Amino acid sequence: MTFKMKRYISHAFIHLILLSITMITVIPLLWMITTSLKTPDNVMRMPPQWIPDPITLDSYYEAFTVQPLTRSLINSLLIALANVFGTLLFSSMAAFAFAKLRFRGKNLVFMILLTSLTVPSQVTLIPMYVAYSRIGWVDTYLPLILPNVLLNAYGVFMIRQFMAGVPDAYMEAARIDGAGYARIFCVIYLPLCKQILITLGLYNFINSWNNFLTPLVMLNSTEKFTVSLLLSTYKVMYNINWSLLMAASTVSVLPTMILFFLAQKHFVEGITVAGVKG
Amino acid sequence: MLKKFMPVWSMLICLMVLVGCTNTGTSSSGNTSESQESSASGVENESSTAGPLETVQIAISASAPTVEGMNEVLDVINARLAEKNIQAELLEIPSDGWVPFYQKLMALQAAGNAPGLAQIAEFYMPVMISKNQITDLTDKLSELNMEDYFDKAFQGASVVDGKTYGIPSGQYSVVMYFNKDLFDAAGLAYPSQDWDNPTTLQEVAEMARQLTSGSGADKIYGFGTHTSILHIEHYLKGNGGPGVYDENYKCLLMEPLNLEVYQIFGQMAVQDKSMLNSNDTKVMGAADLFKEGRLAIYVDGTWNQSAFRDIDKFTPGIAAVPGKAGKGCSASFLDQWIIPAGSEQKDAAWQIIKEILAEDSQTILFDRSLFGITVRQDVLEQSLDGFVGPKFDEADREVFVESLNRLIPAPYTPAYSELNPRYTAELSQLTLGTLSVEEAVSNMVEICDTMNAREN
Repeated sequence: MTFKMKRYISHAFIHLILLSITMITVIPLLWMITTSLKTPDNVMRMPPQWIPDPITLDSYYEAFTVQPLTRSLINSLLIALANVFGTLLFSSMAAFAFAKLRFRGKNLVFMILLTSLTVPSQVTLIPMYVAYSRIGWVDTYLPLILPNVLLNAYGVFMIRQFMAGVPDAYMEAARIDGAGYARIFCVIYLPLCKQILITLGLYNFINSWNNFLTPLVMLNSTEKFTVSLLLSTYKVMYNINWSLLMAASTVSVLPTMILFFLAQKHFVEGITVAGVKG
Repeated sequence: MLKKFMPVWSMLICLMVLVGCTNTGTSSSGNTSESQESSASGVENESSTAGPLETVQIAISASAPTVEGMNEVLDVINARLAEKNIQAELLEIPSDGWVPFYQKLMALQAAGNAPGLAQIAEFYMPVMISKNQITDLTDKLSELNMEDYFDKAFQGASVVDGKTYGIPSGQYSVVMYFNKDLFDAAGLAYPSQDWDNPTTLQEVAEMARQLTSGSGADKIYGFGTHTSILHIEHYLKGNGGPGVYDENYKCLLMEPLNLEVYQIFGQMAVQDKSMLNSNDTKVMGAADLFKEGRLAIYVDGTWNQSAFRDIDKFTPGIAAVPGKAGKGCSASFLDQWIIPAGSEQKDAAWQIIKEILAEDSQTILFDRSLFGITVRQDVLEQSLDGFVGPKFDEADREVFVESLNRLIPAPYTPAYSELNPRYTAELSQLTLGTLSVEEAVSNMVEICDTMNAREN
């Protein structure tokens, strides 16, 4: 067997494994979409139908009419965007301070910030709810945005690790030219962090979009429900209309899928860069 | 460059503030849909009695059919409650199961925003009672005419030490569904529909063996049953055993008559291969296999009725749960209306419970198949045919109704949520044949005793 042949076989084998892994990921998505296009009677039919017969959009129509799905999509989008841009702004500023500025207790504050990552959000949820209830924030979007934006330890850590890898010479040169910290941050460091910011933004968007527990506890009014909350209302206790649930699920994952495909290149690069520089 | 960024950041900060401050004026614990608002205003207009209107929130799962049904009930009962200056409104909690629902309820209670009234799964009752999270309703029961109701529905996990902490929002029993066509094809007599003289589990095992045929995707299974610890009680007591626990929650599964049940399961699953195991139901659940005509006998809850009444591939039947003569029984599943301990409107909430139990409210809920089978005997009688469906004959309907008179409490303990997955895992090992019956049951006993002792 020639070297070329061996290489072909080796590549074919690797592609086969990758293809199998891809199928494992993609098949549930495809199944969700095909189920959403089936009539309720055909959902559990054996053998399973990969191409629904008949194809119907009734479940999509029902998904938008039985519950305020459009409204919840808008709510989720607003919360996610506020989370993304707020986190990028405040986390990058904090990261710049931790990475490049010198002040007393910097390492201690950074360590305290990092320890907050070890506390599961479920543990603090009810005490936070009690606190927010006292200041009248319950049933508003503030508890879903402000804590995440102002104290995003993961975001600060990620950007700080990247910024720490950028040579101090850039800052020193800018200081000699008379630039202040704000200008150095905006003009030099933020553009250099583009990839990591896109990665963090995407990560935050997906997290905010899929968050179920915090909106469940903090929101009471149906018109304020996020899409993840609304999805759960398509299920009746002990009884599920699968095609309806899958139609609503398909609609709910579309924004994150589109966003991921658009930012895929930056996302992968950002992860790589964060790994290398970190 | 700095100037270039500033408008963007300013705009985003404004967006955040705007989004965060979005509050359409609903109170922190309020949740009023348009239909409720309109009905409420109607009620206010009708109300001629002086004094402020007391608005009581009812926390329910926010699924569309439930909300729609409950709104219809509220339209009816608010008209009556207006005379007492009480108005009920829904607090819709979006949840795909009881766990998030309970979490939300606990958060509301912790913050002093407890709803006046809430629906909760029966399995939370032991833990909520032990933590004093719900109100004792024992004294209020005398206000109900108990002859109107199925008395067994007012037992179960809501009753502890003779005190009643919840009122059933509905009831489910367990019955034995079977495929008449498969029985006819195998030349077998149908299982007994007499609760006083049911088919024994050993006889069911023999039927299942004869009904099993084929292999792979075409295999027809003889027997399937729910595998949670709640679903074993009727087999154990039906076999003459003492049940899962004694009065001190000591696990009794190793008692000879209890153990016999697991031995028969082991025989069906491992030797005869006639009983569904956990691998067989990975692609398609047991209820769906039954609906598809691939499962001959299925012992499970009557929550399946709304799905099974549409069966068009074969003629289904209902029989009594397997057991020895004089021992026929069925585990009860009774979700509850509770008044949270933190509720500041306990009397008004009780008035609402009474209105929900009224004939017209129960008719609305039962006709919509919400919250299970009605607890009112008269409503069940009126709406039975529609609920059971035309595919089931008169004898099936009788055995279905009689199951509600044979209810026994399911073995809930405060540790149920934690121990049940581990119990189910051991039962899977038994039915897969990876553990002997004695080993598996011994492990189950250890799990139950350890976890119950920890919780107590």
